[in-house]
Amino acid sequence: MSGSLRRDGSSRFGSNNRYGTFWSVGAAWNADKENFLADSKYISALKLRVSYGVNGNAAIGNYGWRPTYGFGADYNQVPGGAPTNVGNLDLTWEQNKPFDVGLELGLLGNKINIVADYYRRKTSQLLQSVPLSLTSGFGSYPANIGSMENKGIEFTVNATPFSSKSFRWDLSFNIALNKNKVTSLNDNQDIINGTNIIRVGKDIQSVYTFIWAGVDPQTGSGLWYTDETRKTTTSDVTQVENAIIGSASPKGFGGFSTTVSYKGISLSGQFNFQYGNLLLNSWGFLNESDGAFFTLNQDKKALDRRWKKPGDVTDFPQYVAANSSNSNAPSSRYFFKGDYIRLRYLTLSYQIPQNILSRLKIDNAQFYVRGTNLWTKAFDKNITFDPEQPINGVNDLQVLLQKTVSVGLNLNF
Amino acid sequence: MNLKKIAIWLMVSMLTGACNKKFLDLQPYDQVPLDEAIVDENSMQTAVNGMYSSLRAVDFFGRSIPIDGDLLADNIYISSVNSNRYIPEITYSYIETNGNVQSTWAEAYNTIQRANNVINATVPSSAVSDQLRGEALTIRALAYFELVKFFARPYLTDPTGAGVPLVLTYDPQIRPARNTVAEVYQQIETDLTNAYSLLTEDKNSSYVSRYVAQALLARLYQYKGDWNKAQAAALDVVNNGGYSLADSGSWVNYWTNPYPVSNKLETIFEVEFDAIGNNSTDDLDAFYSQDGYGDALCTDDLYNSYSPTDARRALILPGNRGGENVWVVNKYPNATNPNGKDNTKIIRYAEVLLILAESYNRKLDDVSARDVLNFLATTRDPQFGGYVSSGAALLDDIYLERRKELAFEGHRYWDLVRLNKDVVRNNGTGNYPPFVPLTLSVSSAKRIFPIPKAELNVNKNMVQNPGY
Repeated sequence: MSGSLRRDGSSRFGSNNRYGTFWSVGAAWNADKENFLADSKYISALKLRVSYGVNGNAAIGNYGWRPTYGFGADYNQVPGGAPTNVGNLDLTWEQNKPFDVGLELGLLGNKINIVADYYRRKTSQLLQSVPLSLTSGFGSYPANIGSMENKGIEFTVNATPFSSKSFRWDLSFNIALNKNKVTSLNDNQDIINGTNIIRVGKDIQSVYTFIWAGVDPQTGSGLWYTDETRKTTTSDVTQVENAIIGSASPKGFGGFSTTVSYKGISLSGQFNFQYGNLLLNSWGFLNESDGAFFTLNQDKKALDRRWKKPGDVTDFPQYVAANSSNSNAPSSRYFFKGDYIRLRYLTLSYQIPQNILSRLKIDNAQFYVRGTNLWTKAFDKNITFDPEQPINGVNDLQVLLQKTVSVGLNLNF
Repeated sequence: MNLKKIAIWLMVSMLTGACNKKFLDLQPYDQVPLDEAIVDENSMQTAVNGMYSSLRAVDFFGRSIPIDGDLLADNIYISSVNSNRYIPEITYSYIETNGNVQSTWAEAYNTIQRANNVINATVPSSAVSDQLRGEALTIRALAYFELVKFFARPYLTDPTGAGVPLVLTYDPQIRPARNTVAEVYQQIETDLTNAYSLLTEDKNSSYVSRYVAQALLARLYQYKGDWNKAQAAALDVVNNGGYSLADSGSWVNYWTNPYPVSNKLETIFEVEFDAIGNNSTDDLDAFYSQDGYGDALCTDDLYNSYSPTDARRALILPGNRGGENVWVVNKYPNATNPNGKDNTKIIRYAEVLLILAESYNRKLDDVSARDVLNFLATTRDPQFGGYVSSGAALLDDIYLERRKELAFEGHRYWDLVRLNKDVVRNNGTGNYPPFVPLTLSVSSAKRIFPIPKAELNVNKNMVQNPGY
């Protein structure tokens, strides 16, 4: 059994609501120490855990709550001032209430180890930057907007199927599944920011945009569905409504790794995977613009596959200099499925035998070849960029992940 | 005291928040709390400077307002060699997510917020604070005038139609509905009239004085078609303002000067851009200068409207861009001047004369109208014999003279909108590539801008313009 209790104040929060009280309790039961398991042939370790509590999040800027005037808005090189911060005197701690039950299980003399957790984390007083009416003269302000819930499971298994003096095989697999849901918002009001929407009942990273319906084979115009029912298509951008098409949050992610070693030779690999999220090509409107940005370089694929004559069935509209159809307006056209598997590491190493080393007065020597990111499978065949992107799912001209192969020698004297 | 007692004491003191509250009351070192920002004449002056500086924003008077006023009509076009700026504007394809449109809206209301804070400050009335309040009232009126021009149908077409929301106090949480066009005009008139009586100082052309307020009133009455008041306001500026026109020999020099003036030559009010306070390559001058983006070029149609002896033609120079001979606008020649950038002219004496001439014409006094018009036209072109027309033909001549005089200052399109005329682009010499529409009819939804999507997302009381 364990427990904690604390009261925190932070200068990051409004003068009205600066303090928060946080606590946690936990209990664990080492069942393998009990009589009925002590002699088990199969179960070598068993532990059950449960915990609950309240903790606070203050991951915001230092003076965001404070309504202020700033300086530097000079005129005729004479100092000028202007409102810089909307502020929010009521701004307070975001509160998380994590509930977790876990199981740790060792089987067959700990040849197989399993860790499984189920969690449900309720978050209230969610901290977010909220857009304001631009008529206020401001763009956004920090607020506690409502509450959400994350629940999911995390599962890890480590196993050593075979182990002898000269040969050993290790396996490891882990997966995390999460489901997020916004459970309440102030005044039940959606919060829309570009192509992101926060709406009750939906994932907090939901994507809200036009639904692209491809290219009209007769005219070469881009088409959208008029709304989420996907019944009617149009080439008139003013007739189109936004709809939720998915989320930037992955449904699951994890990894798989294995090591095989025989005498001094060892081969190990590690795979990562992720699925269920959407990625935005945030510069697609510009380099797959159908000619709207006709003096800038265009994606070769978009140019090669563009519609050219009636009857062409393709996914890129006709290229028109200074295209005025707005076919490059934000839409599902620039979103891609983020599902991928990637071979993160592949390492082959050779441990030089001790009898050779001791003659050279070397304690330890290892020769290795290591490749990183050698192989990637992206499941969306149309994606034009790397599927591994920041948590918000926005591809913003980040430096490409490198594929590397390195050869090395580790020596210890 | 034993350890246990100390521990209990510490816990209790923490849980009750007994430590000094001031401990957590941290101030940013470079900002002051809102309620301490404007407390006396000095801090009021600082806030007024901040208000003026917001006029420099790129999609406000920094570039977009003066560019749009010419580009949406037929004075300028975008070169085929370009930086992809203002393509939706020249092709009339702006939609509610257009970035420039959203910024124009946001930047205008940002200026209004800064003006509101000065107007509503609790600083007691004095000569200094009255002057500053008058400056803020004038700037607020100017911002509302631009908003109602860009985002609402013209007053003379539909005075009771949807205008823009009137926000007159500081309130970040406001979600206002649109006032009518007539209500916005009324507010502008009230602000400018109040400002006129508060303003006593005359600083220089980059600050508001009482004749700035009066000249903007003349423009408001012109847009409203209230010719008695337009005439009276314009006459007050002409008779009492002390302004003069540059003669044809010094005309180019007048435009070369990047600094504010105190000699009342030509400029009534301008937004000051200097060596430090500027938007660099995103300023108006760089959009014309071939040393900057240089995307905007003068149409042959406009160039050919000037006679060879017209001093104004000297501000348009032959150039070469993308292998073609083009007309380069040289009204803003200081894009690469390290000592000062070109100021954006808000209102000049010549415009007031043109409003006065139009007022006379509208009131059927063509003799006075011709006098005023010819005074301006022959100052610019001493070889010109003067207009002899009358009635509707004289009104056409006044508008031709407006086009020539106010070119590249953002007025041409709004003249066509106000007169409820189609935009018809003359493409006889092939300035416009095939993708540019050559007409914009009075019935088109694109005559005005859409309310930005970002506003509609947040503000359920806001209504979009038809056709967007």
